Amino acid sequence: MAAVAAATDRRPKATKGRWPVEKLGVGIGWRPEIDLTVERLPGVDFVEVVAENLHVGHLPESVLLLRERGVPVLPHAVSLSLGGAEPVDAQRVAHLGALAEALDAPLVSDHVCFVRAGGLDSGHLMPLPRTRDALDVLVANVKAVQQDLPVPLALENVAALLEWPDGELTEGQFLAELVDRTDCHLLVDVANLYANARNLGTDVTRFLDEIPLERLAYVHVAGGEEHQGVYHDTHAHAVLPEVLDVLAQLRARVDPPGVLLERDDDYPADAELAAELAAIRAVLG
Amino acid sequence: MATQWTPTSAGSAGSTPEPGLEEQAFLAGGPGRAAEVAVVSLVEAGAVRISREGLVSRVGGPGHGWSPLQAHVLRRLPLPLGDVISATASSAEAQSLGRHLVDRGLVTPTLRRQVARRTRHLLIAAAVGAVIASIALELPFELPFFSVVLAVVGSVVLKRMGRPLTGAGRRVVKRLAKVAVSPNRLALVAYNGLLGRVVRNVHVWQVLGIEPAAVATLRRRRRNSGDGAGGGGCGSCSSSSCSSSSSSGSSDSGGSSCSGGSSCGGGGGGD
Amino acid sequence: MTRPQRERLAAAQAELLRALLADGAVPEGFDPERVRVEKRALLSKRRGIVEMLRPDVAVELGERFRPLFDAYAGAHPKEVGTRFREDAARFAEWAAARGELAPPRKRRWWQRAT
Repeated sequence: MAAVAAATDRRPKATKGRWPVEKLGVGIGWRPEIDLTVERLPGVDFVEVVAENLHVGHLPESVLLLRERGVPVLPHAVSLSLGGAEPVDAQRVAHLGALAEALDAPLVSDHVCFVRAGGLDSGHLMPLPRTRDALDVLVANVKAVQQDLPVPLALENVAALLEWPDGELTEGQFLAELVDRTDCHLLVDVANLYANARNLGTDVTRFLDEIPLERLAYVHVAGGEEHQGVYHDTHAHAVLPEVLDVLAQLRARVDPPGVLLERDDDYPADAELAAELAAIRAVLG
Repeated sequence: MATQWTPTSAGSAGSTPEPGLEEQAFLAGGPGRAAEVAVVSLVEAGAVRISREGLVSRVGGPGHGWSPLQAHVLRRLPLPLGDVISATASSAEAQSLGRHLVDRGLVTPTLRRQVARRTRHLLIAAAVGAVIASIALELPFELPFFSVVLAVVGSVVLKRMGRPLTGAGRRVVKRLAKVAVSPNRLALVAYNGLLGRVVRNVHVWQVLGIEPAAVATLRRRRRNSGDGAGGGGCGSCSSSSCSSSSSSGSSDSGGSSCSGGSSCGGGGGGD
Repeated sequence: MTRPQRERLAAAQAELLRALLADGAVPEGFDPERVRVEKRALLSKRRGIVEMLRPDVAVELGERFRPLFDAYAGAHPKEVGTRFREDAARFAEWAAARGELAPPRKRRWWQRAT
């Protein structure tokens, strides 16, 4: 791994400054099924890997190749359960940190959610109650994790199919306060935002007004489908024009440091992924 | 990219159409070879992709119009290349392809091959017995001499009768050999196998642009020969790729490798 | 420092997951229809992962895969510490124990295919 790090330019580590994240550009989620596709797609400025699927000692050849080319590889975690009632599993944090160092990543990310509770594993990113209680626990967990991570942490809004009762804050307020109290960065998923607008009536404009866009690390774009009147954020379908509209609304307020396309299943032909990246570029202007 | 190879030199019989490329591959290298052709033809058609590490996955929807073997491949994905090949080689579809080739008179029926082999063994044993008996009993010289001559001639004839491919089958493979040159990517796979060579130091997988790590999943299966390497090489099964028709690592892993001595094992799937 | 909040949150999150993953009642204040949709989505995701990890099992069960997996999943919510690969293996064992899936056995016939 040292060889890889030495072979690439050592970029300055992002610190907890006002504009912490370097320009990332347009990227795509690296997945084992489409490794060659990701390598060959024109204009992939950065990629993201699912942290839980990689072993620091045996990084895939394709990921190492991308690093050698100087393409930033950002570890994206899905299992820290930062909003869970239990303290965060130190091993998962250590793995994420080790991966960030092995990949020389400028930052890592996970979600504003809980995954496990009461001995059960949902296998999914579950929304948090937007209460002061939940925020206090989340803030405490995030602060603890930040202590153990070698790089800054960005947190992503999730798509929810259900809403907790008795919410005390809007989603935007909840995220804004989280950033304020932990100094974390934001990873805004415009497809999740669209999903919540569709399914739960979240006000997109208000959300974008309320979150601190100056703490935006990058943006996720993904596809989904409507099923029996409910929009499902599947990452297995094409990106809807409506999702790109949300991206355009965000772009009207800020030039995001990076935008990344997530595709996790039913991978289409290379040309189709290239077209989705081109559509994202077109929105960014 | 062409997904179907159209035979340029039709069979001398003229009446029967040339078998499809999967069938030709089966004749040239057994069910594993046919599975390789099924996978590579799907790649060429843009219906599946093979990752750098050898993970084979579907591109887009399931599609239609596939051969039974191709449809089997698509149903089993995603899987590492070596596992796809072995699972497909061991599938009911591959078996049925084998039976079909027997029905078409291209593959020798199992029973005939077994009878030929056993008769040959008996003949050799009888000749050896005759020689020993004639020495022990000091019988005249002519008896062992003629029994050995008979055994040698009979053995040659029976060996020919017990060959895995019929004359027609061997002719199909010979015609395949003629078109298995570089632009005919699928014919290359059918005749040589993915691990076979086009020329010295150039393997078929290199011509196809498959990554070395992906090819390693084929070789890994071969090395794990404890649970079954060397499935069904027929005919010109000289390249190492025949062995990629070994068992998959999952629950459908199979028994021992072919022990029949010939490159084609015991022969005859379910018939 | 956050102990009382954690305790309240733990109880609420556990109650929701029991409703979504096992046979727990819909917690007070939740829209039962939304809980049903989420429950189905989580089940579908889990089923999809098992299908991807064990295509052999899914192929062998064919049409029966979905109802069988759903029955298995309802009775065996995925517990903390269980990997998806283990979940898939347990489902295969469960199906085999019910006689729905042929137990793993040595197959030799195909290797003898000519």
